[in-house]
Amino acid sequence: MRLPNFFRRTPDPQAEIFAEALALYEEGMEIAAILERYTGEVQDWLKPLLSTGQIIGGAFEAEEASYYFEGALKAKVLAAAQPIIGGAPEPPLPAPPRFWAPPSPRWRCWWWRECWA
Amino acid sequence: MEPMAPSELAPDFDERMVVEQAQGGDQEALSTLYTFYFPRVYRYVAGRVRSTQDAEDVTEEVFLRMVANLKRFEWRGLPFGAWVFRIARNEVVSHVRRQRRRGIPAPLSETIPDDRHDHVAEYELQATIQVVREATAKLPPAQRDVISLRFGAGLSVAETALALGKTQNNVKVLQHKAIARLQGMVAEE
Repeated sequence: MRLPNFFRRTPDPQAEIFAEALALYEEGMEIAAILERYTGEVQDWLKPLLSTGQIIGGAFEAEEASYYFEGALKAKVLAAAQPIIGGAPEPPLPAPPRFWAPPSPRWRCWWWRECWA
Repeated sequence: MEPMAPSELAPDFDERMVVEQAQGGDQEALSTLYTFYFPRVYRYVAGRVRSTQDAEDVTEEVFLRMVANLKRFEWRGLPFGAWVFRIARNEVVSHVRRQRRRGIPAPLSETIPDDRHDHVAEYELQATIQVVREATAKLPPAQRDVISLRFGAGLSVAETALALGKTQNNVKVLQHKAIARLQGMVAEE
């Protein structure tokens, strides 16, 4: 049997209604359409709150970081990550030669002179 | 348990896989995480500090700390986004404390005139941003946190609750109180 949780706080009904209305606004619903869902009494206090939410949201939305800062920080973050979590492997070096290099023409000349002179 | 709203914290890529790849040293995965979280973290931070310069400094600290601790992150019921915003919140709190100790300098003008833009509209937008910034700065810290996460980072009530370690009811009450208070302050301006 589940016991009722006496200590669980229930939100203020206005806070609950406002949260619901704000969630609808965030989903793209117009404020007028949201207000139609509520009684006139609720509309009276809800409308200014939603308008304030709209202004606050708009101001935050407009506060974009500069493109330069975003790019510069990205480069810094990726560079900082390399020693900590590793990163792109080092570019491969050319493989060492497997065979002896052919004798230089100068050495060959010397050898022929020794043998056939 | 209340149902989770459509998520800003759950991106459209497989976050768990991308985080694990980033932990394994995949730079592209790390870049994906950065691209997704940067605008959200920046707007959250900008809502909590006084100037653009401060917002940039704190955002930088958040991402460097995120990278430094990325290997230690484990999936234990807390979404990656909530972990990121907890780091952001801690950095904001440390920044505010440091500023208090130093004394707060007057903010300098950060806008450079640009002929290509509509000056009146730009001015009005900057004025609104300034009014909202000053008004949110007067809120108690818990209310500021909720407003910055809800409106700045675009998190839902459920996600904000996870990021702050509070109940959804608590977040709803803080949100309502904050907007009611801001209503008076923004209307005055």
